[in-house]
Amino acid sequence: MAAAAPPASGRVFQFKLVLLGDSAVGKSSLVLRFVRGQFFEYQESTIGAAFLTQTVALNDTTVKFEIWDTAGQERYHSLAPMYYRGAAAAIVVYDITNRDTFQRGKQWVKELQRQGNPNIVIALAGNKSDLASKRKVEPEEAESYASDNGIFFMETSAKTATNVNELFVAIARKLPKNTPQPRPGGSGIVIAGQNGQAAAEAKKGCC
Amino acid sequence: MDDWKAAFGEEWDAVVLGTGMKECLLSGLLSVAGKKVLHLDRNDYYGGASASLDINQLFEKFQAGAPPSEAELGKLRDWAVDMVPKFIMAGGQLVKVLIHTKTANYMEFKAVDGSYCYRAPKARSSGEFGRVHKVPLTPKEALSSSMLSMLEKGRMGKFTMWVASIDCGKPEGFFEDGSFRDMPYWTRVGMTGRKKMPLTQWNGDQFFKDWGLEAGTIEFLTHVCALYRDESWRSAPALEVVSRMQLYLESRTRFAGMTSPYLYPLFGLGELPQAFARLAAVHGGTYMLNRDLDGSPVFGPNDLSLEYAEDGTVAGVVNHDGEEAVVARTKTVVGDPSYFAGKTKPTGSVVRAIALLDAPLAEMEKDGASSCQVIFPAAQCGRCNDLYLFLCSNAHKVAPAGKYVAFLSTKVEGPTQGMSNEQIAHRELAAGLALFTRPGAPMPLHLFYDAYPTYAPLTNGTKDRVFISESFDATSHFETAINDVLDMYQRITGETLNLDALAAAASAEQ
Ligand SMILES: Nc1nc2c(ncn2[C@@H]2O[C@H](COP(=O)(O)OP(=O)(O)OP(=O)(O)O)[C@@H](O)[C@H]2O)c(=O)[nH]1
Ligand SMILES: [Mg+2]
Repeated sequence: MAAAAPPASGRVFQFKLVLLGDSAVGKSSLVLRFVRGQFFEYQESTIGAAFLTQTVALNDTTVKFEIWDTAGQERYHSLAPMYYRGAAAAIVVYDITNRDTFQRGKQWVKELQRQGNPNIVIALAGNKSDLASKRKVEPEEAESYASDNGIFFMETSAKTATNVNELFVAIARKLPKNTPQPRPGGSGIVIAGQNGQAAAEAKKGCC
Repeated sequence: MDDWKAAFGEEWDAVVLGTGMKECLLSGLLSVAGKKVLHLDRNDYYGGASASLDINQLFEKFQAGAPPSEAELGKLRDWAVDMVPKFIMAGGQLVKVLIHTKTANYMEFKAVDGSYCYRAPKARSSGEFGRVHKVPLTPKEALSSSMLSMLEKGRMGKFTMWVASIDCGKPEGFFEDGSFRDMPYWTRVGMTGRKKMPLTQWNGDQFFKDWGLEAGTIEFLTHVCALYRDESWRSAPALEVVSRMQLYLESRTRFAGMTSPYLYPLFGLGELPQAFARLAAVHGGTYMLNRDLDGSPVFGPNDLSLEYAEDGTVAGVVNHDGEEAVVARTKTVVGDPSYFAGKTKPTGSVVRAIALLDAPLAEMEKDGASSCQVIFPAAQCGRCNDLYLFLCSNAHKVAPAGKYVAFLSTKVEGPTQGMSNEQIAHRELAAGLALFTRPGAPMPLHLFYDAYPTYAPLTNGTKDRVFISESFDATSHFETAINDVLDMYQRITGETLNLDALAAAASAEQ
């Protein structure tokens, strides 16, 4: 599979990717499936993880994702805009068995297009596709919404792993790799402690 | 009962009111320490008084009249204007907190290009204008500086090298003679050989007299480097003056390529409370801003009042929501002064001018700087409190390409009754505003005036367990704010945060 490959020869690009969507749609489960190949039937509501990283090897380049999960701040509509600032990609997740989460997903897409990085790559993921019998959102509807709004769409299942790697690979393909500038202002200072003087290096555009 | 009410009505280790930078930092630190924290705000955005506004919010707040125009101001979405503009000292406490908590990972920082000092014109009445000088600290800068006389250049070079070289925590020996008995000393090599300096015994005045530096030099060393806001350095212990100068010097070399001691986050300071809020959330903190799914408020204007136990200690935070009251039960409440009318006292006012510009100051342009701090020592402006100018640009992602935002702030000294913010600003900030009206100056595209009272808590909170932060002062750096937070943390938890040890541990882990 494309994921989890060691950095191939060629250039490595690092991108910030954020997950958005209602509570319990499966954001953390998608990340866990992609990064660790795991799935938990009783995944706890997210606390504890700041972000995880995973690489995707394409033909001539390697894309390293810095993946951010919401830490539950969206639960009471209190997600901070800083969360998606500087993100190169966003996965907006909804649960195909719950129409409300699809509506909420559309609101996230709108907010990202208004406030996010102007070149952000947005993917809409209809998760829990294994629960087809309880389906409330048809893929055609989501597909046509996605194409109307210039984003791309996939149905996924973190449980069965269907389309999970494919989703991240598709995003990796779409990300611009001509400019060596993964995050805006890539010449910033990396604050990392090293007891005193002259510690940090200037942050390089690509590693 | 709504979902949020059920959560609100739980029992919490601490409830924090307001999402300003101090409150977010405290809830982050408390969450990291394992406390269960509920963090509320009566606004529907993060940052409280220390938020960064977008251009529409800015025009609305200052009632600019016509809406912002892209033709004039460039890409409107690129503006982020701090309401409490401050730079971060690279070697200071806040950076240690950012490292210790790994919050630095959530943000990107960039060095501020220049640190400058203002000098009044020699003859004030002659129609001349004051000048802005780069702070000359390295021997090379001292040599080329027009601020220093020929003789002073050499003295300054020796002085800063000595300040950088001594260990304030480790005296070199103890006097054994006469009145200085058992007093620690540090040595310097002067014209007449080695000399013992009792830095714990001397005050700032005595210390500088011993070095024989000129008054103008002492002025920028104390105000611009040691960051004294007034003349209090004169009576402060010499050791404190020296260690404050050391912080400035060390900050300049803290990260590679720095040309000032300051850092500033990309997208503005409003990112800072948000980053600490995320830290708190990652460690289990619960956040409720004042909005529901469609953005309408969930807390009423009189909500978030306090409830007390019989012994006078706080027992909870009440949300009324119609007839039915929900109480977040807690034995500790933390917040900014705006949530605690009757428990705070006024401590003065801050006045600020905010200029949106399409060119930097000429002095910056000469140095190729796209961001800077200028300190105007009080005496240079005929005042008791310093003036602070803070200017940044697209380099820090707070303005569109080719645009700049400048903030001038100070503590109000005169009476303000019946005066508009503009009138107060013109009286208090005259020396700074002149930089934008002198011939050849960049004319502000827009100039806004703000003035607000500052508050401090009446008590330190240890009796009723209501811990209130102090309003942000007029300084353009974070050192005073971070000390308030660390002090509050100590009062809340009874424990001292040893930032040096924690930062070292965090960096060892990486
Ligand atoms: N059947 C099925 N269940 C799933 C799938 N993905 C996630 N789940 C389950 O849905 C529940 C919620 O998943 P999470 O990954 O915690 O959802 P989340 O979006 O991260 O939720 P918050 O952290 O609360 O925002 C868990 O019980 C998961 O086991 C899926 O593809 N199929
Ligand atoms: Mg989750």
